[in-house]
Amino acid sequence: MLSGITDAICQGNQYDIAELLQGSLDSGSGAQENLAAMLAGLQTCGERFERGEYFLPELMAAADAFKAGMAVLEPRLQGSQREYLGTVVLGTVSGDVHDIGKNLVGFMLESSGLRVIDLGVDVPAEEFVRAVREHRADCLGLSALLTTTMLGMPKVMEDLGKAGLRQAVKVVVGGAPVSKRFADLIGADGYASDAPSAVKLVKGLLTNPAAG
Amino acid sequence: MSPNAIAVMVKALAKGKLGLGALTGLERFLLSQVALPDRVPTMLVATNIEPYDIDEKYNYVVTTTRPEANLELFEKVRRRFKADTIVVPVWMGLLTTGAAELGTRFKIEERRVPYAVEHPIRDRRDLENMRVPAAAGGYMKMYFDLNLEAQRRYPDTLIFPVFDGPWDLAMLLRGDHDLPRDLRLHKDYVETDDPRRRERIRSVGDPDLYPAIMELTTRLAIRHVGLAKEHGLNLMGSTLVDQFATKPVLSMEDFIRYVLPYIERVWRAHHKKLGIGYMYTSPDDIEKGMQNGTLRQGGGMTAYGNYTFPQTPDGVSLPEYDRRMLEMVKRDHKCYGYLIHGKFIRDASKQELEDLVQRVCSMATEMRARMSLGMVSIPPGTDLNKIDLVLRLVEKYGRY
Repeated sequence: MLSGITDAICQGNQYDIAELLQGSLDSGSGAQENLAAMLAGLQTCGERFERGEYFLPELMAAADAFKAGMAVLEPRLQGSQREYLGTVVLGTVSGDVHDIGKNLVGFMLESSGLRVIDLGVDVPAEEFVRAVREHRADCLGLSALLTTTMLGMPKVMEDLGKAGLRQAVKVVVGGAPVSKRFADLIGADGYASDAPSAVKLVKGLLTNPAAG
Repeated sequence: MSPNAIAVMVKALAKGKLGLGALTGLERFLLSQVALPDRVPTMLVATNIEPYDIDEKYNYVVTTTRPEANLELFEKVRRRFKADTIVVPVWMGLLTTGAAELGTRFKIEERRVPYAVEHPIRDRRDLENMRVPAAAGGYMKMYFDLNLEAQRRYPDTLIFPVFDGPWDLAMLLRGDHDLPRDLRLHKDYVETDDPRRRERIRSVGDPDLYPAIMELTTRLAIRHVGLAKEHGLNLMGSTLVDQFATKPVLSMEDFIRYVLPYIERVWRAHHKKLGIGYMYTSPDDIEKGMQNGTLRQGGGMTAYGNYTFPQTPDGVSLPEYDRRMLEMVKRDHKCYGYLIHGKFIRDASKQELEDLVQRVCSMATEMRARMSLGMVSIPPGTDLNKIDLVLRLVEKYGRY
C-alpha cells in the first residue's frame, strides 16, 4: 500500500492520493510512514527529472499530489517534526518575475530532503536578509533570468554582509545570464547551471561547509 | 524564401564560383545557408545589447513610447559593429507579441526589458471575451510599423518580424504557473478511458481549458501573421517562436503531441512559409526532431543551433557538441548557427575569446562545414569592444 502512495506521488496522481492515504491509514499504517512514502515519491520524481525523463508538468503534478496528500496527513502529524537536511531560502531577485527555473530548483531541493522557504519573485534584498535571519537558513539561493536583474545579486551579498549574516549562510546563484565567474566575482559560494546541479551544490555545501 | 533573397543568393553563388568580386555581408550570410561562402559569416542581434549600453540617452521607456528611438538605436549598432548581418530593430521585448492588446499587463521600466506581470485568462469565461483582432493595434502595430520602415531603410540586411506561436502566446495570456498544469490535466484526461478517473480529474480542474486556450492562441497566431502581411511586411526569415515549449518545460514527446499540431495549423495557414522555432537542447534532440516531418520542413535557418544547449560554468555551450553538430550539418546540408553567449563575452579575457573563436572556426573550416557565428544576450556593462574583437577574430580564423 505504501508503495502505491509513493507511485501516486511520483506519477502526479493528485486525483486518487487522498483515497489511497485514507485507505493506508485505515489499515493501520502511521502518518509518518505515509509521509515517508510520499517523500520517496517526490524523490523519485526529482531523480526522473534529473535523468531527463520528467519535465515541468510532471513536477507540478507531483507537487500538487503531495499537497493534496498533506491535507490528509497534516492533522495526524501535529506535534511531530519532519527532519530536514537543512534550510534553504530561495527567491528570484528584485525586478525579475521569472520563476520556472527557481521553482524547479525548489522542487528538487525539497524532494532531496531540504526545507525550502520560497520567497517567490521580485524579492528585494532586505527581504532575503530578513528571511535568512528569521528561518536561520543554512543556504540562500538567488535566481535571475535577465542580464539586467542579475545585477541585484551583489546588493543581496552586500546587505547580508551589513547584517552580519554573510558567514552564517552559504549563498548559491543561478539563472541564464549567471556564470561561475560572476558568482566568484560577487563572492557567492557557488553557481549551478540547472536544478539537478543546484541540489548537488547545496548538499555539498551543507555537508562540507568549507567547499564552495 | 522571397524572390529577393533568392536573387541575392544566386548573385552570391555566382560571385563565389566565378570570382566576380567580394561578397557583401548579407550575401555571405544567405550563401552560408545553402553553400560554403568565403568565410564564416557573423551575425549580431542588435536588441541583445541593452539600449543604454549603446547610448545612455536610451532605455526601454524611451523605446516603447517613441518608436523612432528603436531605429536610431539600430542605426547606431549598424555603424558601431561590422557584423555581416545585424538583425532585429525593436527594443520592446514581448510587448510586440499581441498579448498586451489582449490584456496581459506588462511592466515597463527604464533598465529592464518589458515583462509580463499579470495574465488575463483565469477561466473559460475570460476566453469568451477575447477576440481575434481585425487590425493590428497598440504595440503590435508599432512593431509592424518599425519593421516595415527598417525593411525599407536597410535592404542590405535581414529584417523580419518574429511571431509568438500558440504555446508562447498561451503562456503570456494564461501565465507560466497555470498553463503547464492545464496541459497536465488535459493530458491525464485524454489518456484515460476510465469514466471514474475522468470524473475525478474534473473535480480537480477543467481538462478542456488547455485545448480551448490553444485554439484561441492558434487563431491569434494565424491572424497576427496575416496582419503582418496586410501591413506590407516581407516575412522572409520570419519564425513562429515557442521558446517556452522546450525542455525543461516540456518533453519533446509532449511538445509533438500537444503543442505542435497547433503550430502546424498556423504554419499551414500561411503555406509553410514560416520557420518553426523549436529550441533544441542537444544534438540528439535535433536528430529526434528531424524525424518529425513538420519540424524537419519547418526548421528554417536556425534549426541547427546551440542557443539552448547546456553550458560550461563559464557560459560556453558544451564544446563536445560542436564537432558532432558540424558533422550533422554537413550530412544534412545545413548551417550550424553557433552563438556565443554574452555572459562569456563579458567575463572572458581577450585570449579566452580568441581561443574559443579559433577553436570553433578552425573546426568548421577544416571540416568544410557551414557555420555562422553570432553573439546573444550581452549583459549590461560588457565591454562592447569585445564584440568587435570577436568579429575580427572570425575574419582571422573563419576563412574556408
